[in-house]
Amino acid sequence: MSGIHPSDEVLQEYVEGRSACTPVEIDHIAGCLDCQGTIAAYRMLAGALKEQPAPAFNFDLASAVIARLEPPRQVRKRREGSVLTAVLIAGVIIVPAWLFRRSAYFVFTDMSAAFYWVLLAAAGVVTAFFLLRLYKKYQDVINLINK
Amino acid sequence: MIHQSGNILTDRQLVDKVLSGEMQAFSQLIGMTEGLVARIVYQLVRNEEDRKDVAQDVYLKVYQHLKGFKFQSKLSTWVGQIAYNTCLNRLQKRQLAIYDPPAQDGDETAGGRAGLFRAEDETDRMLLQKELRSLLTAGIARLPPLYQTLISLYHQEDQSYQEIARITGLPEGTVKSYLFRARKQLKETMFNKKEKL
Repeated sequence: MSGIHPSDEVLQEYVEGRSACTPVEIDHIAGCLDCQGTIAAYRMLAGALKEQPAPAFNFDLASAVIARLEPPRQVRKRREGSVLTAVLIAGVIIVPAWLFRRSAYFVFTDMSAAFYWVLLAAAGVVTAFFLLRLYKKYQDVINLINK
Repeated sequence: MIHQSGNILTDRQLVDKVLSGEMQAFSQLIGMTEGLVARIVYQLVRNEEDRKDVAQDVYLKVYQHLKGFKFQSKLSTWVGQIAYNTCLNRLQKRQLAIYDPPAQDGDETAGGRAGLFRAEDETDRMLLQKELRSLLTAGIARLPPLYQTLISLYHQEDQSYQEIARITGLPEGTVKSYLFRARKQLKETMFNKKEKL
């Protein structure tokens, strides 16, 4: 047994597991009553620490947090709305297209020039409407920044 | 990792479920990590109302940033890290009081009051253990809040040095060194009187 006591850190490491201690230190501890006393105190401390009561929140944390989570619910609703829209589009366009697929060719070949113009004009009106809305949104943002 | 009706749900599965909008999974995540968060919040924040706010803020942040969780650590460690940082931010912003218990008489140590190593029968031992526990609680309360948090995480939540380093953002060596000092301080508070006798 060496005459030099290992440091307090080494004795704590010894309590945690001896892997960090050298054979000389382990040998010293085995034959030193002082070091064994310190180790016993640290063991007792570790045991008592483990038994300390755990703090706990005195309210339902999960419910309180989930009640404050509004945006994800909206996202979910929006997602459900998108699915519904997709189903409607499929019902209105894809299903009739499939049913009348044999006569589809005649729909486009038998159209008059006037009908083409009507279609183009309708597309133009819809595009102009969306462009105007976009411009209005842009103006709103600019006004907000300049306020 | 959590157990759900006999099945083990990994961190990744749990995160996927929460991200797909399952509130039940998020509730499970909270239940799984609430203890760890409570340990951190109770050591760092004094006021009960503030603790409530901080705890909720922690999980709101967890929910908002869950998409960015890279699985480089355990989910609980990541939540603990958010809890620790949220507490620190709160303390900085609102300057809440860090728990600072009243000073107690230095002679009130386990060795001095209870004659720790003189217990002869089981009843005495039980009484001493009870005494030891109450002295330990007082001893922990005397430690600086950071030491209290580290002690709590290591000895009560069984977090490794590496995990604690992640949670607190301190180098692993510093965590070890602070824990050594904290334990030494606790040991001296509790057993020194006995040594003097």
